[in-house]
Parts: sequence; C-alpha cells; structure tokens
Amino acid sequence: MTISRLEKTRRQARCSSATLRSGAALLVVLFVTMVVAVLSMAVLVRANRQMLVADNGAARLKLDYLAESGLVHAKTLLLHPQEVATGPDGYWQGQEGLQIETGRDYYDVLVMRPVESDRCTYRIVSTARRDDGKELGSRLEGCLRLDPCIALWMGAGGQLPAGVAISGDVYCAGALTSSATINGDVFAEAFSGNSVGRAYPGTPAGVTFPEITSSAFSSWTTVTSVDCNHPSEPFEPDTGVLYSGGTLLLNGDVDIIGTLVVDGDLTIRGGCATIRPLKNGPAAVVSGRVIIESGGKLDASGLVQADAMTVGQTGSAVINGAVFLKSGGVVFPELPYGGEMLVRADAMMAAVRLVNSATMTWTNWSPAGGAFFKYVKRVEAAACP
Amino acid sequence: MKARPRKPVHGTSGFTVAELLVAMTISGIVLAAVATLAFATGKADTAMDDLLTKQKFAQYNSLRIRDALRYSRRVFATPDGNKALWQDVEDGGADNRINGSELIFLRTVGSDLRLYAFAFDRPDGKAVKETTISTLGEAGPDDPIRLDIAVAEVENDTAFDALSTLAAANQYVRMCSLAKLPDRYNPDVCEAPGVKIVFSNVCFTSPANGSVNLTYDMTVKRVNASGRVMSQATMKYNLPAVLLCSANNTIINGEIVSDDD
Repeated sequence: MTISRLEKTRRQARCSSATLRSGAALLVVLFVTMVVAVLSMAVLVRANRQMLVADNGAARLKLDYLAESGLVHAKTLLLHPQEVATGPDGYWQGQEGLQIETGRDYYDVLVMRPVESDRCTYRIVSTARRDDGKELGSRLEGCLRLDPCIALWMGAGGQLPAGVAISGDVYCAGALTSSATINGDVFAEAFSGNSVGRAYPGTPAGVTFPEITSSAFSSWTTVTSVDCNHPSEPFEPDTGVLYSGGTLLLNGDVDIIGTLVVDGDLTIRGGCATIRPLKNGPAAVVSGRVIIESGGKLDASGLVQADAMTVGQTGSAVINGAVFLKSGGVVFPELPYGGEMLVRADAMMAAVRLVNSATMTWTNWSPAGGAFFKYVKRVEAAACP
Repeated sequence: MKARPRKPVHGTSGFTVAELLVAMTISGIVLAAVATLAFATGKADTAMDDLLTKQKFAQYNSLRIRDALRYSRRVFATPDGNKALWQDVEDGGADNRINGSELIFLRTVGSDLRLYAFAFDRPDGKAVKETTISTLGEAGPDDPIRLDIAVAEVENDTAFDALSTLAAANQYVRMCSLAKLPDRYNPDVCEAPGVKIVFSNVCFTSPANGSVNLTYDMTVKRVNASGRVMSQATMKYNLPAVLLCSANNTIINGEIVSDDD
C-alpha cells in the first residue's frame, strides 16, 4: 500500500515537471510570436499608409486629367455644336455629373460667354470631383477662342465701305480694300485697310465653303411669293424649309422661322426680313444674289449662303452667324454707304448639319476652323463645391 | 507518531542547471535573432519611408512643374539653360501683355531644380503703379506695382534679376518657391545618413511647336553614417508637356502681336 502510494507520488512529480517544461516553451513561443506580430503590424501599418499616400496621389492626378478632359469636352462641343442640345444662344452651356467611365469620379462643365457681343470667346470652368467633391477635387478655368472663325467669305475681291462692321474673320479670294471696321483677321490675296487682327496675304482661311444646294434638303414647303402684309404672323413651315424655285421678292416685313432656300435671286425691298433657322439649319441658301435694296433690311441668325450680295445705299443687314458668298463679294453700288451692315461671326448659330438623303449620311459644317485656349489656370480646390 | 522529513522527490523542485543553461542559450539565440530582425526591419523601414517620402515630394513637385509647363502660353529659353514660362492669366486673362506676376521661372540651382514665381499684392485703397523694368526705380517700397515686361527682358534674364531685386525692396512683391527638386522638406533629414536624391543633366527640348520636354536624371543614393555611399541607382525622367494654350504664333520678331480680334 505504502509502495504503491510512493510510486503514485513519483509518477505525479514526473508529470508535474513535464508540465512545467511545456509551459516555459509555450511562454517563449508566445513571446517570440508577439514580437514578430508587433513588428509585422508596424510594417503593415507603414505600408498601408504609403499605399494611401500613393492612392491619394493617383486619385489627384486622375482628377487633374479629368478636369482637363472637361475643357477638351467643351472645346469639342463648341466646335461642333450640332452634336448637342444647345441653349437659346446656340452654344452648349455645360453639364453637371459627366463621367468618362463608371465610378466615383465626375466632372462638371460650365460654359459662359464673357462678352455677349463677342461670339468667338468662351470661358469654361471644369471641375473634376470624387463623389461630391468634399474629399477630392480639381478645377481648371480656361478661355477658349474660336479661330479662325469666318464672319464674311467672299469669292471675289471687292471693297467694304465705311459703315460696315465685321466682327470675326474675313476671307477674300481676291484683293480686298476696306474702310470698314474689321474686328478679326483678314485672309485675302491682298489687303488694304485696317483690322484689329492680323492680315494673312494669300493664306487659306482653314474653312471650306459649305456648298449647300437645294438637294441637301429632303423636304420643304414651296412658295412662289411671300405675303409680307402680316408681319406678326411668322412663316413657320412644318418641314423647317421654305423653298422658292425661282427669284423671290420679300417686299415688307416678314418673319421666317426656318430655312429660306431660293433657286434664283432673293430681293429684299422696303421692309425687314427676319430669318431664324431651326437648329443645325442655315438661315438662307440662295443660288443667285441676295439683293438688299435701299430701305430693305435682312436680319438673320445663322448662315447666309449666296453667290453674291448687293446692298443699296440705305440697305441694311444684321447677320449673327456668317455670310458666305461663292463667286462674288458684297457690292455697294451707291457710295457713300448710309445703311447699317453688321456681320457678327457666330459659329454656334451658323453651324449646319447637311444630310445626304440618298445615302442617309450627314456631314457637319461650321465657319470655325479651329479653337485654342488663350489661357488655362488652376483654380484652388477649396473653391470646389 | 513521529513526523519524518520527506525525502525530496527528483524533478519536482525545478529544472536542473543543465536544463536551464540549454533553455537560456536557445532563448538567447532566438531573442537575438528576433532583435536583429527587428532592428534590421526598422532600419529598412525607415530607409524605405525616407525614400518613399522623398519620391512623393519629387513626384508632387514634378507635377507642379508639369502643370506650369502645360498651362503656359509660351516657354522662353533664358541664359544658363534656364526657362521662363509665361501664363497670361492676370487682369482678366489673355491681354497679350507679360505681367511680372505671370512669369514662372524654372531654374537649376546646383543639383536642384526650382520653380519660382512672384506674387504682386494689391492692397485695397492703394493705387497700383504701372511700371516697366526701366522705370522701376521710380516706384517706392510701399507702392503696389504692376510690372510690364518685354519679351527680350524675359529672354535675357533681366526680368528674373529685376523681379528678385524688386521682391527684396518692395513690401508688396514676394518671391515664391513653387517647387524644388529634390524638396528640402526637412534639411536635417537631407543631411543625415539615409537616402539622398540628386538631380543632374536637366535639359529642355522643344520637339514640336507648342510642346516641351523636360528631362533629367534622378540619382538615389543610400548613405551610411560616415557619409559613404553604400549603393546608388540613377533613373532617367522625361516630363513631356503639350502647352495647352500655346501662343507661339503671337510672338513675332520678339514682339507680342494680337493673336486675334
């Protein structure tokens, strides 16, 4: 009995010693593991912080480029206004919440015309943001100038008398003598006169003649004469095009909402002919001459294309868009000129889309041959919304 | 019954000396290894942190320089291989006049690449004096200034010298350092052993009208406590930039002409 108790005690002691040794090993292992874990955590935290910094830098760079994308987006749509819904002034005024790809990054574009009378200069503010922009944002402001932007294209040399004002560039296939006010560049074989811009003798303007004919229109409303006795009732053809197969006389006040196409001469006598085309349509396409007699006035918002133009001594023309004359110039048979002639280049109003009904294809045309930024500057991100 | 002292049972009172020695030796070796690992890891981590921080600053400043290039209307070559960038943004923008506050100077100083600008404050209620470099002497130190600069003055570096002098003399003109490569964000760290970044072969080229390339070599050195370079690697950098609002066509025979209308 005593022996067996002693043996039992010995067995318990051996067991206890083994337990103690195992406990020490566990402690050592735990300690080492703890040290390694702490070190690993420290490395992980630092690596994570570096990754956040790198991510932040990458996101910032991405938003910077996105803001630049907004400027280029606006530039493209100002050069091609046919592609987008435009405001009452004919130009794309921007949009919010644009995206290049699905994700958290957006850009907002705001387009303004700083000087209303200058239709070739636009201020663009592009804001790129991550979500609502409170976290990250990048904003650029640019001033875009459409150049060249042709206000008056003449297929032959000629003379522009005092009293004529051109706001935009002028192209003349021959020699141009001018006493007019030209706020733009002059592309002419030879140029005599003053312009605010520069003269480029013998240099192409960088804009092609639109070459629009009546066949470019798939449907129209035919007229042989226009009743000018009811100026308060505008002509607004369902087809958007008013077509005359021969010479047309507008004798009195008339308001046309749509395009006027004349296969022949168009004469404006003793009243004001107002033409407001639909979007992407020209104001007037005349295969012959546009004759504005003394006392007559043409008020058009858009492209006026004709073979030549004759303006009487007190005839007037106010055209916001462009005048393109295929083989002649503007002729003033009686001088000194006493009327009002103002041609203001407005690429937004004059831009047209020509549809080939046979092939069902279309081409865009604009009097603006290009555009460049006069400045681009970064606006502080603090100003972001 | 008489109590009898118990005979100690073998193994119940602790470890033997041999066991302890072996255990302590093994523990010592393991702990030494762990300590060495911890020290080496910490050192490597610090070095990596230093390198990454410097690289981030270098990257950030490269972006500042790229921005300055991209949004310039014109990049002028100045003596000693330096460049002056003109951003026509003041006074409503695009007035085709070079204003002192519209110039940014990209210059090499030793092995550094630095970007300087000059800020012209216009306090309320004080008339701004319009000057040129030749009439700068007529302005007092308390006059807010608008400084018109000619193309030739930019190209022959007169503009930078005049602006630096003006910044020292006039309270409303400040010289600002927009970027430095490498960035002296912490001079102590820069001079301490660790990672050093040196720029060399800074060069500008204009591959096409309206674009500019800035190239440089960036050498990263690991330096020990005695200043000995332990290792180094050189990377070539190329910062191409298209001038988004290039106005090269508006400068003819050294004069700025109207770009249009």
